[in-house]
Amino acid sequence: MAAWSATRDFQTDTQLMRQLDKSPSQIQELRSKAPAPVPQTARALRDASTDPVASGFDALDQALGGGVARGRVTELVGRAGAGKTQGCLTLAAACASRGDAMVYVDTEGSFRAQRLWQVAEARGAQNSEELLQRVHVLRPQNREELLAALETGVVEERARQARAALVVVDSVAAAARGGTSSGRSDLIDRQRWLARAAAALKRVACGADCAVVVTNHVMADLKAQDGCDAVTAALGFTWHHAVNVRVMLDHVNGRRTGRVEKSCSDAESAFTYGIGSAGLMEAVEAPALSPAQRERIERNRAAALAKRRRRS
Amino acid sequence: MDAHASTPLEHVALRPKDHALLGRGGFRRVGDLVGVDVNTAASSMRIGPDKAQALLEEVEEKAKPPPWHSARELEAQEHQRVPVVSFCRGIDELLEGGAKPGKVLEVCGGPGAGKTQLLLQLCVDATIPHQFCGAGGSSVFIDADGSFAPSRCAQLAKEVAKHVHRLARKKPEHQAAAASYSEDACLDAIHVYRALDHGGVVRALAQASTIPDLKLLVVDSVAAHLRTFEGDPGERIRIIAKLALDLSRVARRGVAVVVSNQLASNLTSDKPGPALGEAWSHACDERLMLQRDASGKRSATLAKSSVRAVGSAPFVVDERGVRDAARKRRGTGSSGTAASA
Repeated sequence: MAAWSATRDFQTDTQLMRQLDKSPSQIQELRSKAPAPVPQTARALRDASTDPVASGFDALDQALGGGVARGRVTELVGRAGAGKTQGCLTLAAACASRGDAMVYVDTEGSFRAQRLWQVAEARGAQNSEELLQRVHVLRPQNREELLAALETGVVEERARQARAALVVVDSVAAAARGGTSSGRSDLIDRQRWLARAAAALKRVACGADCAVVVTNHVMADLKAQDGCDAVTAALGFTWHHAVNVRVMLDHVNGRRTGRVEKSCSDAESAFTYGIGSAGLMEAVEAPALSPAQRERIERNRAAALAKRRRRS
Repeated sequence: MDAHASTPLEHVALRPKDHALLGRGGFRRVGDLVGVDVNTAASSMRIGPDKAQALLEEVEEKAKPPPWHSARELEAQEHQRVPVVSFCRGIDELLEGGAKPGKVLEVCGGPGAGKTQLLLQLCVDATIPHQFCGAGGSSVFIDADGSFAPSRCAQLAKEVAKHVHRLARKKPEHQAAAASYSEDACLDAIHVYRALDHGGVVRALAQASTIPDLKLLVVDSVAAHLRTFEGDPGERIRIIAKLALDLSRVARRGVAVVVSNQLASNLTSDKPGPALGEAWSHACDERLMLQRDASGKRSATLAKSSVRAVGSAPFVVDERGVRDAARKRRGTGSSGTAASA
């Protein structure tokens, strides 16, 4: 019988009958003989599952059930300065300190090797040269270049060859928003790009059995009732569905808190964190706000809220 | 002859070439072939007698009209089929007992609403032995999203095994059935396909019927790969229609089919709705919408059903899996009251 080609998956039985001159039952037989993904029992998958990639920051690892899961896409999302890139660097440093390789895709130009080493050193790493050798950095110029690197297997190949435990894309939002067209057509292009990038990232995660971490920007949450400064992850529904795990990093009144908003288990927990020499780390007690400061913050908040109500 | 004999031969499912042969022999209707001598038929079609014999037999076999059923017979059949329970009483009541064999159920919801968790729970529940009101078979999880977490699945299996053993203590006659059921036995009966593109989903669907004792098939999610489709919208609709056909074909074998679908912004209203459009909406027999509000409370709403009026039920996802919201609050006592305050 003729070899199965991928295009036939999308064809109806009637089309195939005409094309291959077969009866419906023969088509059914052909289909069932096509090279299918091999099923594995849940037990085999459980026994074969590898450890998640730990960040070395206990609170984050605990919230994620041990670290970022392999074979899945985990998203760090937060305002500018919330610590998304710091989170990526912390993961990268922890990964490289353990002797594992990793791939870092830098779309914003925010990657600093010096900072990476600083984080690793604060966590007790010894040999900077060896450690930095393990970090493979890719700097795509635009989103087309990034998508090509993901879809043609450039990233997956490198990750597999280097036996990488982690692939970071910092950030997806910057890449997605850097389109060349404008207006409505850009919106459609961007959604298509996001859907393809998500599928490609999952192929990388699955093919190289590594954890994929991406960062995303936020936008104002217009539906939130409780305040004017509420934010939600950017990039829209297609992308929100595509990530497997989402961690929201936020700072409210000087306190940094992280929250697992979506996960593959029941884990939905919050943690506090700080940013220091060791990247994401235990929160250092912030100096208490003076009553005058607090009053000013409250006043500003109320004013902004009133303004927004008037507008709507 | 009866009405059946007047069926045109072109309506019989044969190879196009065989249709041409029959046409050459001057045969137009099924009745034309009744009582025809094989050698005469062979010479009129200008083929060998063996081939003609095989062809006539094939026509006879395939031209049989579909059998009639009485509604009473079907009702008895429906009663025999055990639905797959969800372990959340509210959701089971909405679905009249759970995911029904022979039907396609769609579970819809935004990111983090609990779709994958409900699907996982159903997969685990389908393996519960008959004696404990389970479907007692195996299940297939087609993972198009990469969201199947083996450790989470094992956690749910452990809880369900505990539940079965608890029931067995009350019913000594089922001790033996309970003894052979464990976390490992449950996980052995769950078969996972990782589909990296839409072709993977289609091929897994075609192959899943070879899994012995299949009771439940789950696709998480049907929209995942179709969202990357670029090209002619007509082509996309055709692909979706074919997917619907493949799913109902599996369902017709007495398998409960449950698929998850994503939400998408839609052009006609400002509220997001299920992805894949109107054509797809007809593909599922029942549609369950999962929601999670800002405070984290989850609820399931029946949005489409062939058997009962729509309604909604609250539920929770905790370390044990998908459970009733009300029972959880009673169980945890102080923390529940703290949350409601």
